[in-house]
Amino acid sequence: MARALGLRLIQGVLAAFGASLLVWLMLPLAPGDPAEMILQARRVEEPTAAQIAELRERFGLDQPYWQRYLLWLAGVLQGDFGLSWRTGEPVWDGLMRRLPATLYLVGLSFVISVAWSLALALVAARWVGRWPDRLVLAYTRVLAALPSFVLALLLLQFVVVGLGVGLVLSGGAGATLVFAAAVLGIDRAAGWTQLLRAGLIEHLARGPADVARARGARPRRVLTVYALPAAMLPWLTALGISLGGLIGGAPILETIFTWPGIGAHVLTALSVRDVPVIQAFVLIAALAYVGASLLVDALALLMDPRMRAGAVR
Amino acid sequence: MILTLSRRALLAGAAALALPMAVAADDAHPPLRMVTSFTINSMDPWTQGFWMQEFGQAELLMQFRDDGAHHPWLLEALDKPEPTRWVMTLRDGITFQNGKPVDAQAVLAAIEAAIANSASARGSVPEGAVFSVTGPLELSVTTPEPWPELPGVLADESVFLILDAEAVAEVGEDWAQLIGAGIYTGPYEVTALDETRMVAVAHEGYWQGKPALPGLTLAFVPDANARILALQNDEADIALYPPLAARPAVDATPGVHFNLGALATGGFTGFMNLQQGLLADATLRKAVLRATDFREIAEDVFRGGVAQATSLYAQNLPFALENYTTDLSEAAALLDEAGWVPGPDGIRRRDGQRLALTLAIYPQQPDLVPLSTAVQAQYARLGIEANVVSFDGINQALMEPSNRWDIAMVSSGAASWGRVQNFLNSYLLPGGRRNYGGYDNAEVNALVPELATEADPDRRRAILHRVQEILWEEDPFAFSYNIHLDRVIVNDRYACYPPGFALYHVSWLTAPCE
Repeated sequence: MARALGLRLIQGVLAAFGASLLVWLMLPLAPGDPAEMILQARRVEEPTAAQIAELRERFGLDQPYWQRYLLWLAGVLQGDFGLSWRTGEPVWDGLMRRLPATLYLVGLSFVISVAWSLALALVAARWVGRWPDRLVLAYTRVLAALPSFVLALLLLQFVVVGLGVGLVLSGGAGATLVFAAAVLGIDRAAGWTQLLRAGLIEHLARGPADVARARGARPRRVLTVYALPAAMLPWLTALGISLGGLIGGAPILETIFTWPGIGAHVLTALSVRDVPVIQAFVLIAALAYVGASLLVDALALLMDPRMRAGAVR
Repeated sequence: MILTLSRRALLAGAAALALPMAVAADDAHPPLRMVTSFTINSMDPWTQGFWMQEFGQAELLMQFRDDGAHHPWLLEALDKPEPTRWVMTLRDGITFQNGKPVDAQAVLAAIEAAIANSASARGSVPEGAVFSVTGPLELSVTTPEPWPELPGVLADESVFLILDAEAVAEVGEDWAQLIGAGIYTGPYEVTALDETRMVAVAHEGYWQGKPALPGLTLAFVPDANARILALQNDEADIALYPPLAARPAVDATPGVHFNLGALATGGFTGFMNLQQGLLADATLRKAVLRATDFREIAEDVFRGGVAQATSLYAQNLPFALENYTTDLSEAAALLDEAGWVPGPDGIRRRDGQRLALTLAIYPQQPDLVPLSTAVQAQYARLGIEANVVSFDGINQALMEPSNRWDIAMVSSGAASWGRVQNFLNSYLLPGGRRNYGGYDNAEVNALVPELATEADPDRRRAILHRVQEILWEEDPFAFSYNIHLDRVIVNDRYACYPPGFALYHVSWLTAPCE
C-alpha cells in the first residue's frame, strides 16, 4: 500500500508541474501586453515606450519564454516564487497571507457539500420513485444548471439585504464565511447527490441488499449498512476530483462576498497578466487537487481490499 | 458653531478648491464609508501612491479642476519667468501629517525620490530638466526646451505626490511601516490597510482647516453588484465605479441614488483604419462621421449617463471646439460623390462591392455593446452595413495587421489631467504606440511636436483647434462617440455628493448633506 501511495505521490507532483508548464505555454496566447497592463494598473494610462521597456527589463519580460519558465522553475524548487509584477511583493507572501481564509472557505464548503449531498442522496434512494426522490432530482437539476455566482447574488439580495441577516461586506467576518461556504457547497453538492443516489439505487437492487431484506433487515439498515458503503467508492473519487473545482470556484465567490482569500488577488492578477501570481496559484491548486486525489486513493485502498491486492501486484 | 462654519466657508472660498464636497458639517458625523472596485495593495508610494490623493491622504502641487484648468494646490503660485524656466512657490505653513514642514527642500526631495523610484515620474520629465531650490518656499525647474505641460504633470496623481521622502527612505521596502507614519499632507491619515479595506482618520493639523469628518473607511469590493448591495444594506455611503447598466435599477430603489458628475477627460473614441479596407478613402470617413448621431448616443442609448460629444475633447476644456454635427444629407451626398449608391437591399454598393464596415469592440467595456448596436443602426440609415467583432486585449489586437477591422471603439482619455501631449503622440503620429489605423497627416505630424514645446497659450489653443478641424473636416481618423461623465451611487445621507472630478473623491470638506 505504501508503494502504491508513493507512486501516486510522484505522479501527483509531476502532474502539478505539468499543469504549471501548460499554463506557462498558454499565457503567450493570451492577448494584451503584460508590461502595458501592469502600468495601466498603476494608473499610467498612456505609458511611454521607455516606461514599458524599463518594466520589461525589470521583470525579465524580454527573455525568451522557455528561459523565463526555467528560471521560474529553478526559483520554485528553492522556495522562491518571484515577485508579483503588479505589486512588487514576493508572490509567496501575498498568497500565504490570503491562503488561510481560502482554506476556511473551501474546507467549510466541502463539509457542507458532503453532508448535504449525503443527506439528499439517502432521502432520494430511500423513497426512490416517490415524491421525495422526485423533489431531490428536480432540485439537483436546477442547482446543477445555476451558476454559483447567481446563487450568491440571490442570497445577498434576499437574505442579507431583504431579511437583514448578516453583512454584504464581510471583512473576514464568520457569518459571511458561512454564507459563502453554503453557496459554494450547495452548488457543488448537486452533482454529487445525483452520483451517490444512482450508486445507492444500484446497490439496493443487488444481492447483498436482497439477502439483508430476506433476513428481515429494515429499509433504513439495508440502505445505510449494505448499499451505502458499496456506493461510496465512486462518490469519494468524485469528491476528490471535485475538490479542485471547489478551489477553482472560490475566487468568484470570494469576490462577491468580499472574503479576503486568494480569490480577488488571483482575479486581479489574471486581469493584468501577473504571471508569477497566476503560476503560483495554479501550482497550489494543482497540488491541492493532487493531495485530495491521494487522500481519496488512500481511502479507497483502505475500503476496498481488491485495490490493495492490485496495487501490490 | 456659526463661527466655525463661517471660517470654513471663508477658507474654502479663499482656497478656491473645487473638490467634491457636500455642505461642511459639524463634528457629529460618523466616518464616511466608501466602497471601490480596486484594491490598494500596499503603502508603496511609487506604485500605489496615486490612490492616496483620490481619498484625501496625499496632495499634489497643482490640481486639475472641472473648469478644465490647472490651479495651485500645495503651491501658492506657478510662474514662468522665462520660456525654459518655471518657478514654484509653496504655500506657507503646510506640514506633513507627521508634523515636518513642507518646504522647498522637502518638495525637492519628494520630486527626486519620485524620479528615482517611479517609472511614471521618470517618463513625465523631459531630458535635461533640472529641479533646484531657490528659496525656503521656492523651487525652480529649468529645461533645454520649453515645458508647457508642467502644470498638468504637477496635477497628475501618478507623477509627483508630495510626501516625506526621508521617512519613506527609512523604511526601505517594508511599506507597512508607512501606515500611521504621516508621510503625506492630506486631511486624512492612513491608520490601517489590509486586503479588505483602508482606514484613515482626520489629520487635526490639516493646513486648510479641520476636516469635516472624523475619518473614512474605504472597502475594496471588486464586484459591482456587491458594492450596490452594500449601500442598500447600509454598510456603505458611497459606491464608486457603478456600471451604467445599473442606473435604472438604482433609480427604482428607495434610499440609493445614481449621481452623475462633471465631464470626464475622455470617452469612447472611434479610430478608423486607414491601412486596410474602405476607410482609406477620406470622403467615406467624413461621411461616417456625419452619419454618427452623437445626441442619440448620449441621450437615448445611455439615457444621459454620458455626455454628448461635440468635439474630440470634452466641452469644459478650454481648447475644445464645438465642431461635431450630425448631417445625414451631407453624409449621403458624400457617399454619392464617392460613387456609393444604394443597392436593392438598401446597402450601398460601388462596382459590385457592398459598403460594409467592421466595428471593433472589447469585452472589458460592456457599454460598448449598446454603443456598437446603436452605431450599427445609425450607419444602416445611410446604407452602410456595420458588423461588430470583439477583440480581447484591444490595444494589441488593433496593432496586429492580420486582424480585420474598420472602426475601433476604445475608451481613452484624450486629455487626462489636462495633459494632451501623450494622446496626440501615441495615437496620431506615425510610429505612435497606439496609432492603430496608420494615421499619417503631414500637418498633424508638424503640429504635435510643435505643441510639445510651445509655451504661448494662444498658439497652443490654435494648434489644438487646428488638429480638431483636420480630424473632422479634412482627414478624419480619431473622434469621440461620447464624453464620459463621472458617476457614483450614494445613499440618502450623501445624496448631494457629486462624483469626484479627475478622481478626487474625498476632500477636507466632504461631508453628509445637511
